[in-house]
Amino acid sequence: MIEPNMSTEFSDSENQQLSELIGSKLLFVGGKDLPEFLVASQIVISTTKGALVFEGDVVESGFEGYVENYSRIRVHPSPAKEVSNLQIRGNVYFQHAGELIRNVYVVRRVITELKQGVPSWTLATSRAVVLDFGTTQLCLSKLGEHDEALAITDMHGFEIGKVPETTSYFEVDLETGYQVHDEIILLNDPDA
Amino acid sequence: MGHASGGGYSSPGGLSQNLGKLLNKFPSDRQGRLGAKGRNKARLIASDNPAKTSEDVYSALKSGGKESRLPNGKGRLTAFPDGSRVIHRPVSSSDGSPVVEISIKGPNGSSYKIHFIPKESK
Repeated sequence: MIEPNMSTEFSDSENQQLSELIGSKLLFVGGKDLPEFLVASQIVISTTKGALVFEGDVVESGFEGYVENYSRIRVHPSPAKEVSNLQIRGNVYFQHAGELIRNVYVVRRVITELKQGVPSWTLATSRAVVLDFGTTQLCLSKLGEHDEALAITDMHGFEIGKVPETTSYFEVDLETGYQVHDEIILLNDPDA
Repeated sequence: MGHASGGGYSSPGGLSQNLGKLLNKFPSDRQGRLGAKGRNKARLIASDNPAKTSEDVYSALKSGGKESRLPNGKGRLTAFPDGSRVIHRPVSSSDGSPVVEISIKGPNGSSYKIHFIPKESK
């Protein structure tokens, strides 16, 4: 595993909350401002073991030599009242409802900037969470490396290439290049 | 699928089309990016009233998208069905100036931010 200069990865607590979804059934995906095309900065995933809120956030850092925003997905439990309000207002989508979450994957991305071939910095980030139902999957992912947008994507067979690509301000020029490495992390079932 | 959350849409249109309508009103580059070249990959638009100009540019760009407040309180985001989005931050983290961030998805997509600064400081 590459040691980053900057990390916007999930915390141990967030990974724990995600792993606790294993063995539950999906109830719905929702959000106060989640449109039918499922792109927003806040998304709720509700299951038979409780609901989690996924919030797009940005973290300021100067590791590139100037202050910039770097995106991060924050995860926390959703209060029951908020879940209930989503249902009352109808801000919910029932794709995959009732399906058993067999595994949860986190897609970790490491971006390395190269100046004339020499690494100058690395940024590691948790770019997506994939709920695996067996033959189908639901993916929640970041859409950008510098903003709060999140998206839900439906998959029939999980491959990293199906995770929506992120936009970024990283521009290749004659002396600057970027290496991008994605890895899939299978979270442990806490009940196993 | 369930049904859509209530409201928030304006007239139909994509972010690229909205952007196209602004290109003759502000400086832009050959790639169709709004604003003049600034420091650290950012672009710049100078005006007499940066806060108002940033609001006007954001308002023009958000047409046809779904708008929401950012959960961290740092501004507003308007998303489009293709994943393109525009964000307005009244106060940027770097220098405090208002910022509009534009991310256009697709083969000719681009992602950049524009700082709105007073005319004399350009």
